[in-house]
Amino acid sequence: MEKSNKDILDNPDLKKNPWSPPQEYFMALEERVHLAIKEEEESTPSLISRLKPSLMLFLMFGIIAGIGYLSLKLTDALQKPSAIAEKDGIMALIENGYLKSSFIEEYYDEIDLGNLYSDAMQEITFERIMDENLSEDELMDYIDY
Amino acid sequence: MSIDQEIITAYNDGMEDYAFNLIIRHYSTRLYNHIRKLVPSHEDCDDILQNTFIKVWKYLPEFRSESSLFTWIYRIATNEALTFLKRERLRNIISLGSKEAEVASRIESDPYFNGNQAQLKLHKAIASLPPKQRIVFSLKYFEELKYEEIAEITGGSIGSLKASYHIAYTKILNLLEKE
Repeated sequence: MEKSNKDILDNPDLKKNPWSPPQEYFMALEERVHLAIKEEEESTPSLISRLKPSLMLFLMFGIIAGIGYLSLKLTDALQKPSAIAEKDGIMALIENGYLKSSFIEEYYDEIDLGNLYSDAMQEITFERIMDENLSEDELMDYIDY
Repeated sequence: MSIDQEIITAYNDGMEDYAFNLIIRHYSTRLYNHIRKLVPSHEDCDDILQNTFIKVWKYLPEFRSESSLFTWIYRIATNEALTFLKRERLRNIISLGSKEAEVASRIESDPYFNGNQAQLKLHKAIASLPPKQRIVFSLKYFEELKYEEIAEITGGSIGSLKASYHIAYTKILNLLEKE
């Protein structure tokens, strides 16, 4: 079966072109091609019309970039530098003591650190007196001191 | 002196119009027959042929004789036909319809088809091939070009062209077996 089909494809008549163009087609073709070339050359786009797509692309890019910038600005995403500057200002106020930076700092400010230290020292001294077996003279010296 | 050499010599001597007219006169029939086997209607073939000659005229100053003039012109014509076939195929995919039956009926009712029944069956089978296979089959089977020449026209390796031709040939045999 395959052999018979291969014979069909080997038939040289099959290789002949079964189509014929309309009468005088090739006679008119040369003239039509020249005409088409002339039309194409005449309709060659000017510099502006050739640059128009690029300009439009550039304009669109500008518009998109502008919209992007505005939306970022409106959503404060571009406020970071000034926000940092503001924070720096606040830090300066904290460092200069005009502002309380936290609850802990505020709490410690209300405590008299000098008294706290002397109270602690007193406790230590008392403990030492109680712990060590000081003689009466030593004790008197310590009180005088 | 071959006709290709005469054309190139005339063009290099500044007789561009004469050289171009020689190209049209020498290649019209051959290119028409080549393209006509690839596309289903005379009108489409005519458009492709005209576009081919327009491109030949446009790019002739860039022709550097690295390949033969025949190969170079055939490459332009084949690319034009391939672009057309791909566009047609895409249109068929978008319209979600099988156009095989439509193409077959177009060949049958074509007023410019003068072939016999065996030729009709063969060309209906060829019309069912994908564009690239159709081109490779046509260049090998009808034009009887060497694979090296086909590779210069279509690009691609000789191995892939041989495989493509073998697949196309087998498909056509299978289709002829069915009928």
